[in-house]
Amino acid sequence: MSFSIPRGGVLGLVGESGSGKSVTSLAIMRLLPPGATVDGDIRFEVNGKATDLAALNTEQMRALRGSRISMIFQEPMTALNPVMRVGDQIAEAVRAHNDVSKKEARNRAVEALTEVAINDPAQRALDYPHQLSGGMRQRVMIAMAIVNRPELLIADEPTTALDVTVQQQILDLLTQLRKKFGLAMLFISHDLAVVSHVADQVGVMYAGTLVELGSREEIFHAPAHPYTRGLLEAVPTLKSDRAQRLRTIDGSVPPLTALPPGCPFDPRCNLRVETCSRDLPPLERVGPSHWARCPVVNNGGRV
Amino acid sequence: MPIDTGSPEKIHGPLLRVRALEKKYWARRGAFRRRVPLLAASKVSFEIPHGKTLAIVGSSGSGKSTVARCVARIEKPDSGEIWIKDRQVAQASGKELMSLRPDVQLVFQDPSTSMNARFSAVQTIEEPLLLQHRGSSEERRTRVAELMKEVALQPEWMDRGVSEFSGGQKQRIAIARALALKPKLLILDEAFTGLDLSTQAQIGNLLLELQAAHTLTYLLIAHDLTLVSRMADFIAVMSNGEIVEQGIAQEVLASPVHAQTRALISAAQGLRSISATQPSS
Repeated sequence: MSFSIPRGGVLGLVGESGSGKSVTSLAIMRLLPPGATVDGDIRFEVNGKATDLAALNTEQMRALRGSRISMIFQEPMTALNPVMRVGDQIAEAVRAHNDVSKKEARNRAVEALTEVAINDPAQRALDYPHQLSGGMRQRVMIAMAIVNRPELLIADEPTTALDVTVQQQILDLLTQLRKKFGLAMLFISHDLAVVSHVADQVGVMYAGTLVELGSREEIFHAPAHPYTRGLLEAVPTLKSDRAQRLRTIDGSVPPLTALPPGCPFDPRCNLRVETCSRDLPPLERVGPSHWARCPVVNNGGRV
Repeated sequence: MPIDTGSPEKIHGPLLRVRALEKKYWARRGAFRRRVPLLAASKVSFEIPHGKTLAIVGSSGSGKSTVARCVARIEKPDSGEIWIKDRQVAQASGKELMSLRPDVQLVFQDPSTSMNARFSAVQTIEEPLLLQHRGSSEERRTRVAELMKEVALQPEWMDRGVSEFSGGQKQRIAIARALALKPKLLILDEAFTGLDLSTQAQIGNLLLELQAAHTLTYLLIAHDLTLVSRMADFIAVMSNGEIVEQGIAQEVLASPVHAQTRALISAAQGLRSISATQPSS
């Protein structure tokens, strides 16, 4: 699994539940449960100096987490402390990484709430999470994530739990913040439509493997891997046509404990050739910035 | 002996009729924490013909789940009428309510929280049969096997714990459980929302097949128009506890009148569809 995100760039990581998207993000944050091992290196550049996150000790990692790299989650209600005022929660994140007074931390918290377009931020800072709507809570989470001006923001399904109309507002906000602060983003979602609106680069994961990586145009206009094509066909469109069945991919994702020896998509694939069930195909270049893990496609057998 | 779950009767006219439904909740507001009424559903009226699908759509807090819970009679409405065929059930209680349950079943958003994680698939699916005292243990297992086949799960898996199934499979178990008593009306409250895209489509197809096979009537509740627009015959849009627009699905989608309907449609056409060329705003 290899990818890179330039400063200010957005990589969308898509895949179905259990495909390894969240594990990838937790590996970057070094938040995997004890017992999990990470091979390879995770390079992160601060002020022109590259560090391998996988090689840092706990203290060094803690200093980066929440300041240079931060994260927002799907369900803000479970990520926020229900018995602490939201302003104090943001101030706590400030004081964890900066030697400032409580008053200064609180001022920065209110400033961060202004940044995420919350009306009357000084008053809202005194609210508890349950007093806010779902969209407001997600804004508070984002305020907490950006208050220390990170270089990288990992957003794990940030809009999935929200209403469609609120989803749009949150995505607009993330796009603005990205422009304003040159924030790089790893945007994780199972929702291809949402990813197509925010990412410049898209990675598609299936059963723990990155099966395709490319620019947004390449992935959505010329998808190479049969899994990506299947996913794109399954995106519903606003049509009231009950005569047609909904397009889907037959079968289901194999459990990670019982992966087939070759390509994990082999049992569901309609392009499969003999070697597929034997060897995991390598990620090969199929376009200028486009890679896919499929021997049929890589041999020029594109349909 | 097979379990007798009643023979399907020929029904004319609407299966479900809701008239002027109203439901209030009490909340504490303001500096003095005064109790103020929150009108979650107000003057809600609609009907669904036998074997058809109505989708109630709206943003969160619009009252759509309140309506679903009142129709399923998990909640008692403050006033108004709910007719299932020729029975008025809005104020039913006790035995009367128990006799309503087989006709109306509910499928929730998140199957993992609406099921006992310690139960096996067979225990989960047979529970409605047990509660209604239907059949012997042997007969119930036979019926569960039948139901599992119907939702495309292998009957050999019935003794596995529900936690061993994937999200999509759990939702299939939830649908099998809802079908156990051969209901006439199935209420699906955001039944697709937590699922992956291709799984959503699989469950959508399954529901369409089941509807055709058993002449089921569906009440779909959703905040996203995209998928329900493919499944619904009629659409009702809710906002602030009231139905602000309703009609035949194609007509509502083609010429929306209310601002809320237009907002939902533009969200479906914008955010909910793939954009590969336009730069994001």
